[in-house]
Amino acid sequence: MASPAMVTLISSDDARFEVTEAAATMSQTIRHMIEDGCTDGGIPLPNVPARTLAKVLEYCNKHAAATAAESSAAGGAAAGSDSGSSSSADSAGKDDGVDLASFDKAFVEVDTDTLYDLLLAANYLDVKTLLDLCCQKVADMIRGKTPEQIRQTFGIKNDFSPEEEEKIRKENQWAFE
Amino acid sequence: MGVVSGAKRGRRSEEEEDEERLDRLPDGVLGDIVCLLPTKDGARTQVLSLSSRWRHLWRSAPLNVDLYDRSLSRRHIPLSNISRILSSHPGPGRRLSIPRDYVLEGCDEDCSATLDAWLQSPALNNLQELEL
Repeated sequence: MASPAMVTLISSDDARFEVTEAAATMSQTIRHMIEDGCTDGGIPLPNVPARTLAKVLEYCNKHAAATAAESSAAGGAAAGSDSGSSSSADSAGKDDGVDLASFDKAFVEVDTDTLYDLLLAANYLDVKTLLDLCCQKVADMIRGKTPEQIRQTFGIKNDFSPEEEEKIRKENQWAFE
Repeated sequence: MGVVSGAKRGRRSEEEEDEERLDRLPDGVLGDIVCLLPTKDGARTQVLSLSSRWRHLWRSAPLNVDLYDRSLSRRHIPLSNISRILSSHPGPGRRLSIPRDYVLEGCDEDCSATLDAWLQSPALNNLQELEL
């Protein structure tokens, strides 16, 4: 079996990460850089510090490996003629799905600072599933809270005058009932 | 509820930079987040703060009208409010989801005319999902 193609990514603080091309190209930004042939000497990512890049790559490695396992399991099941091997491949695929969902859930169980860093990096690197995951996490943290609680959770400064805030509340009374 | 936490304004210094990082996310990301919120929660983000973009995010992100709060397993917006929601948002719409019991309850008058009026409001332009 040929060893997988590797690429080197360079964080804003000059840390180098060697990852499989399959994991790296979960980022559309990196995919485009590779397509454009900008990989000599490593791919610089001036907007992403090492701490965040390591975390993003943990996500990409996990998901790229799961995708690879899924396609090889599907291939194996299609190729295998006896029912025994195909059913074991099926159940392995299913376990991966459950495993990936719990991985995702645990992955965003982080402090708010780390979550912002991940959002910024996922947005810049254009890793859509990671961006969606992090946005959903923030939405879950906002849901059901009062504006006061949301400001407190996310450290948002309230710069309304009481009159201004009251006016907007009145205009959108239905949302505050 | 209408009280503003003016007392907190004075005591922000070195914490400030870290604490307001959510505000520094790009508009597109904040819009995605607002879009994922249930209707009421989305609209409430308008009062979070004035100088940041929260004031306008809800109105600029595609509208998500879901009258059934799955997390609470109950209805959370009276039917009579739908017209008000639709008139307070310029559109486009991402999603309109009206549970069956809402529609039945509201059908004592001219149901189809009401529904027609909703679907013609600008708030639901380019609607991506419709669930009745």
